[in-house]
Amino acid sequence: MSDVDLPVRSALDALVPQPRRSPDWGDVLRRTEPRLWRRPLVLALAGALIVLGTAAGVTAALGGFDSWLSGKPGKPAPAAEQQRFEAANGRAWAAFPRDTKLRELIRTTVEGKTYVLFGFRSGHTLCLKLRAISLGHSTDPACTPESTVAHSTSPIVVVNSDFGFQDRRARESAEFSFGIAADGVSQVEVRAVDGLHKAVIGGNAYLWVENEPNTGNRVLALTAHTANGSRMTISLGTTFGDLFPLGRSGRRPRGPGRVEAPIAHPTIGWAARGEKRGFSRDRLDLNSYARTHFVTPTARFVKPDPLGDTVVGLDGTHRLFVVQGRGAAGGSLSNRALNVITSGGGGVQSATVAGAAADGIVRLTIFDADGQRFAVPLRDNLFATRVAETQFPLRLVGYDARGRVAAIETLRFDLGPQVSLHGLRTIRHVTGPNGVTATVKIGGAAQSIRCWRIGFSTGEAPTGCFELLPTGPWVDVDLVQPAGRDLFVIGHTRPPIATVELHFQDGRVVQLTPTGRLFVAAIPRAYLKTARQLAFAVGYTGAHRVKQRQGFVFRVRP
Amino acid sequence: MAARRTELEALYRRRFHVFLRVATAIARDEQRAYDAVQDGFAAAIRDERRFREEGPLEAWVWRIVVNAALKTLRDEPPTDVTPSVNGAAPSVDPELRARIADLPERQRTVLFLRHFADLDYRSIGEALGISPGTVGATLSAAHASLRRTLEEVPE
Repeated sequence: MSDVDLPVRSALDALVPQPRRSPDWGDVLRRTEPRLWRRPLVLALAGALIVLGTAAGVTAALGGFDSWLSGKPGKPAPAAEQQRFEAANGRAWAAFPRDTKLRELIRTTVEGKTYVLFGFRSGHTLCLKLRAISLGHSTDPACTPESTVAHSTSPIVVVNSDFGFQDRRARESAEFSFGIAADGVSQVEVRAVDGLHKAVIGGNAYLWVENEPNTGNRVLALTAHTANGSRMTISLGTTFGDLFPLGRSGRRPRGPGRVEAPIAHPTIGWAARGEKRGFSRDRLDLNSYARTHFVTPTARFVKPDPLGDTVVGLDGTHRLFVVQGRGAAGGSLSNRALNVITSGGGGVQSATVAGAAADGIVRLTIFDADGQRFAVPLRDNLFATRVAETQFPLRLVGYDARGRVAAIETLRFDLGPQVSLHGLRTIRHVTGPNGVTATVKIGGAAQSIRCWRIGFSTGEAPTGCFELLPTGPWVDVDLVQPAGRDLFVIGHTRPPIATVELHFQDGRVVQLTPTGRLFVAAIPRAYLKTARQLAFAVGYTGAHRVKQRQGFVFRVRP
Repeated sequence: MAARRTELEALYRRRFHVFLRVATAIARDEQRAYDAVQDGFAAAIRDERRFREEGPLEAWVWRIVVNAALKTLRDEPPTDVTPSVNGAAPSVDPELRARIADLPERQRTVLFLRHFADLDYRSIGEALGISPGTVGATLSAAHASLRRTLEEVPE
């Protein structure tokens, strides 16, 4: 950036501050054309959630989630915050109801910066929203279905496992994790790359915020302690790099596997007859693309769960739409008894399952991977619900009026390609100034992905993968890993990068040669300080020309 | 196709805020910029077969997103400069803001891609369909114009 004048750079930074919106890949997918939709699936539906006995007993013993399931956690949010929430939420039908009341769960200060965790319940959906007052950022609501909480075998339910805010230079300014806590939870420990932390407990929720984390710092696991002395750890299977293809659930779908009374000629009568049920597109606050190119003006919409934020629509017997907020997804109706659309939660741990059920299906039930089942709101043949990612794979079952299974479909949460860590080979050892040794192992290329694992003599063993496709940054720092009293920088490159240099602020340079595109370096002793520091990984071509540099931040925890 | 989708998702997750910031600079409205980014990636998924791997995927996506942001500006020009927050004085001199807004479209776009996205000349050129030399000349012209404004603004 040396060729952009400093005054101009300052002016540009002030002119366009760091945006506050969060990425939402699910929304991107909802904006795509119908032909790219997930395969049609079966579903059936009913009204309210059915809470089964098994795991509910576990959480009851731990104190339960009564305040979330039947009460009001925390305290009312300040009027100004409530108004802000209503202004953002209340513009459209595809949003939570206008009278949704925000609750303040936790207010805390971390290194002088104030954070407030808000929550609300709407129908069968429980949502949390973090506001970083000092930073001027806030998250969109992150939600989890009531059934996840009701059936939880853990005293905490992770709602947003790991997310962060960045400053205007795209450097990490805060990292956080939050979720719902049962009454009996006395402490939540957060194990991150940089060590163990304690979350704040309050309002039947937990919140962990780290100010100015190291580059690539991530949450690895959460442990909940209860007042009766028990504890439970939730491991997040965290990996690093471009994508996270490891740890896909190997669980099998549960529930009925045989259709007893198939629908002979699936149809949706009211749509076929051209009845104008529900409401029109004009009631939706769609984004420009969805309105102009996607959602047809003659479609009719229904909100299957009046307390949810999802609207489902039909245009005759040909097109199916799902709308959340301002985004829409859709596709062509098949001649199956159930047409289903699933979309990701966009950085949080839930997905939306919505679609249309043919006449003759009067009730829909989802069976999750744990064997729990719950009903799905169904109205005018259209249905919608949220499901936690951890509940996949799902089996969606439609029943007829006689209680027979009329349709079945299995839903999986598509996490992209899956690769194995078997066959990693040791390529080098790196020793830090305080004697900690890193053993670097790397695998071969599989599905255009290469994975690595680094074992530290102090016990840490981060794992990651990166893409071999010709795109993305030429130099990418994946994480800064503390190990004992040492710090290590781990990153990867892509051609034509031949060498990497770490440039520290005092001018010192550490030269590296990536192996298999991976580079690992110990940070010199002079920079092992508790004050946060900035350095750069600079990638050079074989002709020693600078190709790219990437900043990374690090510090030693006190 | 699945690999390309994964590639696009990885790019999106890695660079979302950068895309959004550049789009905001172009569209002068964060909501419209957000739509441009989201719609741009959605278009990239729909049209992934059109990516011919003649350059980096990221540059191809940049071209789509930049065009989407420019389209919002052309379709619906902002009625005013960005208002100040809570009535506070704007942190950028109005004259400089106006000068940036008045830069030719290509100069502004190159400036934003260089500053906010940290793209090199080649990548900017691939995103905008111009040569690296033209990128350099365009950037230089933008600087010269803005520098004149800065020199005219009293401290």
